[in-house]
Amino acid sequence: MLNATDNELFNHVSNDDQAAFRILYDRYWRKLLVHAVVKLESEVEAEELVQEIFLQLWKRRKQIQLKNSFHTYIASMLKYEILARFKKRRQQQLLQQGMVNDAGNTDTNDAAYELLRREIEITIQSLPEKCRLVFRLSRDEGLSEKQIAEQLNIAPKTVEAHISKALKKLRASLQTLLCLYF
Amino acid sequence: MPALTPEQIQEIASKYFDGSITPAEKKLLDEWYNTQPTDTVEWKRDEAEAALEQRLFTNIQEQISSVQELPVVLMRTKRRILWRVAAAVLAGITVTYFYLRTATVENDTVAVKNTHDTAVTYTRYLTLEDGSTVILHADSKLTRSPGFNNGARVVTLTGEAYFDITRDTLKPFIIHTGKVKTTVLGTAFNISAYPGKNTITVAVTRGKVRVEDSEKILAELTPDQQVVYNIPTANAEREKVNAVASSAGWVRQDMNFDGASLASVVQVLNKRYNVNISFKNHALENCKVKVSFNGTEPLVKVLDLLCTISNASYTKPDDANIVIDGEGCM
Repeated sequence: MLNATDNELFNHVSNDDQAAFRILYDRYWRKLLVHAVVKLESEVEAEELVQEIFLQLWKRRKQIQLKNSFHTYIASMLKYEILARFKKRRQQQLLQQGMVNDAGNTDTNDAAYELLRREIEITIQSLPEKCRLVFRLSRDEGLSEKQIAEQLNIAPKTVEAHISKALKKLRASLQTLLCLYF
Repeated sequence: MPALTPEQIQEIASKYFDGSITPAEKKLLDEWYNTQPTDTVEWKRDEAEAALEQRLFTNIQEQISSVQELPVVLMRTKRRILWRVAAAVLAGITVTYFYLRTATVENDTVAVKNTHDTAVTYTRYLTLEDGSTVILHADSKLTRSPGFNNGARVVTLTGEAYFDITRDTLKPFIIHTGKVKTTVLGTAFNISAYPGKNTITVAVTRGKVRVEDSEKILAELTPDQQVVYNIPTANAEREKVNAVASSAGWVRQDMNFDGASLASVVQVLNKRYNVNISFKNHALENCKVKVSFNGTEPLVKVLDLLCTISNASYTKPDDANIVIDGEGCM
């Protein structure tokens, strides 16, 4: 089993294999910890984060479906958790300064999924207004290209162009996500 | 590439989560995240890598098993006590508003009544609205900050208390005890804080606690470490300790019943859990029981065991009352 790939190991983990879980831990704990220490500049918080990530991996082992590599998945979790820590630190500061606001909850069951969702949302928001509108009508409202064309009073060809532009941008930003470094 | 300050990272990360991040900020954030530091990481901790690897994994395993053992057998409740903190603290905390919402314990079978107590004169078991439990020692006082559980969970303690804190990494649990602030970084703990003492002591059994005064972080404590803070000199010293042995005796002190009558046990429970337990069949009152608890169990667990050994059962006709019924002693 020591020669198995990460993804193979994770398949075993999904079937409650604790030995496979340990091997994945052995492969990743140090990378995660070092990266978290460098970013967070706190060994204590970095340790917590590593524990949290593996705890989530185990708790969600039945739900997680690896679309890409395990490495990508765990790297997404790491990025999400690190950014969430920075958000949390800011909230704590605001609280201490008496500027109390409701600490919006960034806790989540699936950090990697949340990261993906946010990356997509941010990419969509960065699209030009018309393009964004067309894309939202298409994906969120489920309208056909023809319906969108009628509703916005533009040519169906233009609708098509907007959508393919949006998809191209999304693909590019997700590509970046797939090469997540850590 | 411009380096981001910690404040900038925090601000941009917050915007990332609320969706107000601009493409330029997103680019800065990603660049910062993807940049590898040139200098190598210097490990401050004096711990061998293999030991660190194993310690973290053990923590993970413990958290996994505490999740999986949710239907906890009474004997195992000890394992849920993740850590304890003991602190003795100076006087001077005068704000005394302590409020506990009606908190439902476990399967909704037993609810703990509202309390507006500022202090207790006997050891009391409390459930906070975030699900955390606090066992407040006699003659102690716990003050919950307004908006508790909205952002950070902030309380002030005078006297002594044992805490079992519900894990919520985004809502830190902070206990103010005079000049010293204790932040719960992990899961559960115990604090004691007495007025008139010159030192504040925080000791940890399991988990992690950060202790700081107004100026600096005094210590980030891991299991079986304690920090003793001297109030007049503001000196903090860290030492090794057996935290289980040193701190929790009082928690179970009142919950050891050796041949006590059920009536006297119920008297203790009524005060400790602030409930009203009565007997339908008064013959039960004189039944003698020999049973001991950890002192950290929720009321349902205590009642379940008591009823099992007394061949009785209990019902909850309304929020305020619990009625025990049975045939009497064997």
